[in-house]
Amino acid sequence: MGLVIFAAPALLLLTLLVPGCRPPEPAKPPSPKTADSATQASLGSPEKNVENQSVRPAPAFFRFRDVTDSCGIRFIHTDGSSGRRYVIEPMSAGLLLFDYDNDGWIDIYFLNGAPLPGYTGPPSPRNHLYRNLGEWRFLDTTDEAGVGDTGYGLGVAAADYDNDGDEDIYVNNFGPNVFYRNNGDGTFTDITHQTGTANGEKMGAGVCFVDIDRDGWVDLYVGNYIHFTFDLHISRTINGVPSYPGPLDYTAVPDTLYHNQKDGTFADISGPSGVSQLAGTTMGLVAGDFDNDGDDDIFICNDVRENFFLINDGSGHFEEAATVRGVAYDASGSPQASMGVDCADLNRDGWLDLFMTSYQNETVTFYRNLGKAFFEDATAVTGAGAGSYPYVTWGVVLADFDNDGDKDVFIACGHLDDNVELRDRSTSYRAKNIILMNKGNGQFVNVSSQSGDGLQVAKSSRGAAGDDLDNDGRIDIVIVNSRESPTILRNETPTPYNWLELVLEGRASNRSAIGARIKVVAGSLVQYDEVHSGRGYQSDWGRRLHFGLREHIEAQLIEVTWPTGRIDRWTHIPANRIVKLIEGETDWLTVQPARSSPSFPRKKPRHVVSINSRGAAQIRRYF
Amino acid sequence: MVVSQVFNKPVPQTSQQIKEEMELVAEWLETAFPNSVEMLELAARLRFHRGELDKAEQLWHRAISIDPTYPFAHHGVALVRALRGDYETAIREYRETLRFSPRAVEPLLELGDVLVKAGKIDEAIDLLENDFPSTVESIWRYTMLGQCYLHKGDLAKARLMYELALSRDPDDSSALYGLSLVLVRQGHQEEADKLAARLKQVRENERQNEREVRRCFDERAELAGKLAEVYGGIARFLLAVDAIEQSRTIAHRAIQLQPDQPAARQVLAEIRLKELAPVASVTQSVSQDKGDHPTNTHSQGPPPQGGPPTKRP
Repeated sequence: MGLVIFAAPALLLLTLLVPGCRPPEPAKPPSPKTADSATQASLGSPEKNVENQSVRPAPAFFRFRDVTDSCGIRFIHTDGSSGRRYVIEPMSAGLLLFDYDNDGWIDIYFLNGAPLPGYTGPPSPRNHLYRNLGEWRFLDTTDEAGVGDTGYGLGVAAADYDNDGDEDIYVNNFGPNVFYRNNGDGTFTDITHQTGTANGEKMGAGVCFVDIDRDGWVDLYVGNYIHFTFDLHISRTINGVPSYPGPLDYTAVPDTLYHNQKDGTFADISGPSGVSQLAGTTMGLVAGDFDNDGDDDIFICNDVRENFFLINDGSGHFEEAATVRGVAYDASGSPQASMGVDCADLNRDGWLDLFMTSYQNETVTFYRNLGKAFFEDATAVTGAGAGSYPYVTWGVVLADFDNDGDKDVFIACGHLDDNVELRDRSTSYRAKNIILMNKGNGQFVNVSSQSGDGLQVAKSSRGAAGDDLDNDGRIDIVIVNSRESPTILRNETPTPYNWLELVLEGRASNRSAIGARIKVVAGSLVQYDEVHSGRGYQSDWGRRLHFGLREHIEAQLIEVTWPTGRIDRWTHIPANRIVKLIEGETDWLTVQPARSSPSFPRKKPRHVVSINSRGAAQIRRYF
Repeated sequence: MVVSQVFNKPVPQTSQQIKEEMELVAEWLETAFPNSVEMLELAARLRFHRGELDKAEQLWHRAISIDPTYPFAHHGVALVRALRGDYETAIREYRETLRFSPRAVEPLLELGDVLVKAGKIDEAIDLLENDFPSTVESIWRYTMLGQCYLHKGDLAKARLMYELALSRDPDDSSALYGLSLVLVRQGHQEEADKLAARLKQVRENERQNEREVRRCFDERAELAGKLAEVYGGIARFLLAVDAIEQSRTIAHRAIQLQPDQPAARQVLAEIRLKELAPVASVTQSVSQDKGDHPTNTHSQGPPPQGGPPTKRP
């Protein structure tokens, strides 16, 4: 697939370049006429933006609307249960948000469970892919794409493993895993066997792509939960009420690390990398450069035991250092039932912090990075645990929901046991989710009850993911609910602030730019982020980085440190747009999402129009 | 009469049967003793053990409305509020508990824990440093103080507290973890690494122990113990009001459920003494001090959960 350069029409120029200070309305996809006729004029230099002098306050609350019923998503999760209460049942599942067809609209891939012994529910549950058509319409393209795996889905991540320009999918199952290569034409091919990444019959968990040795090819870290077979099933009761067994009832196991051999295969390097020496009970995990030394480290949630923190020596060899780094336990030194984890620079000090979910009668945990990947549990002193203590918490999304420049926190809640109320009415199987507003002063406030009907939905949530599904500059949320339909939350927060979204493309670095570190400067507002693949509760999202800019109408500077170590800088990027940054290129490109249609125009190419920083339009043709 | 309905039945053999008996007894206490703070408090405990937190809290509130100075009811409300993550109310109720039972150690430690969770670090330090009885040793107190000082960045004091905890129990994992964090921040990386390695071994041993406990865990016995403990309290109350036959019946039931139930054994002994020497001042041994109430079968209050205060529960 190639890049075709076109000029842009004056109308499109106006649309794209007039700085938007007003609250962004939900974006409508540009008409094909506009996009296709973008051929006549050339763009000048980005205009010199003038800072908006009137600073409006951030909204006091968020507003999320539940749009699940109206957006065409009919997915129903099943855990394959029959009342026997296998340990695996409540662990399912994560989800993936990614733009699989490169049309500028972020699509959804839901994992599903599978029939377990005794199951008598609907036949053939499988994973489902929903293509985002824009305007909150989604189309089930599972069959067409060929990604309807029927394994017991637990964790998922995506990245461009073969550097061919589109994102591939890895699914971590109970049982053999599945690796799907994106063919670039709306279909995928199962390449598990040829890549050598099935990972046996293990019980999976979170998974992430990470370029551990910065060789320009993403490697694959696969979490494994416990050693479980149906023969090992045990029954538990609490106060006479049947309950699920826990990880301590089973043997801990090490995770698996695969190195990308650059030839379409992967090699298991769990031994030489140090990973195989660490037996744990992995659930969520996230890779990031926590010590700012240029390589990605990995934080691993271990259920009811100390977490692991793998410090990368730069060559892909890891040293476990969670205890001395302050992330093994909570502040009191107790191991938690660590579930999911996300990372972001929550206090804008240039160091990635960690935010972890856990079990009932434990709060979520905010590990604040004190610098160089030494952390403190700052949950209590920042109010980050507000509202979470009675609930089992799973998915966690760190994102700036009101574009005020500070990352907020979304937490998915729901108990393991569907009968928990019979023995404990301090909690509930179905629970409302939690949203914390980052006040920017080091404090979090629980604003769940004031943040719209979307936060009043009570289900037993698991994985959660956040991305801008309607390209309006506000991060929306998708949640997998155990045994039920998912929840799609449209962010309608009436924020007065501006935003910027960045799509990074590596060249010498891996194409997905996993591990790239980004600094965005807008006035006095300085933000940092990093491209990740695999995060939260066994989920993946956020390849398109989102920055709230407050009242600033441009980013004066964007600096990207690529995984190779190369640093590129771009200046004066106007706000309220999706921008593509390519390693080694001086131009930045404005991505204008294509108008989608329900069917794939396989023969007639569709285009994504991009406007570069000098005003030339580029139209990316695909399919 | 519920007493005969319940106590003429065979001893419950399953967890479910015990919970059903808890329900019956709680209903009896609520209806037969609507104005007795002691019996309402015991009913609340049964509700709590059944997981009925709302009902338990209502009963504790009823007890408070009858006697606002009754510390055990405040303690019960504090526990429920803390479990629900409502730290502000929990703190208020813990303070009420301590106001009316100033010698109680367990609520004090629990209050310290809730203060830390609520981010009120200075208040927690003040409580644990100044209000804690000097005659009581508590590793949990030391580790909480270590945590507080670590939050404050006072590494020297944090280190001292963790070392004090370790001097009482060299394998206290919370103290080992806290001290390793202090050492890292003080630049003693090598020592911290050694502690971390030791901590891993301690944790592994703890996990082995926990697995063994889980393997041998007798849920029925645990529930029976909780019910028997409440029976001990009821028997003591009935004895105090000279309802000797009922007291005896209930004490026997407690012993059927848990043969070594101490309060029930004591009640039976006191009944025997009473019968042997009617003029003996047995009932005078029942203190009217709120910290040692007739129905209180614990030394420091009526915690439905938790153990001795020396270590973090």
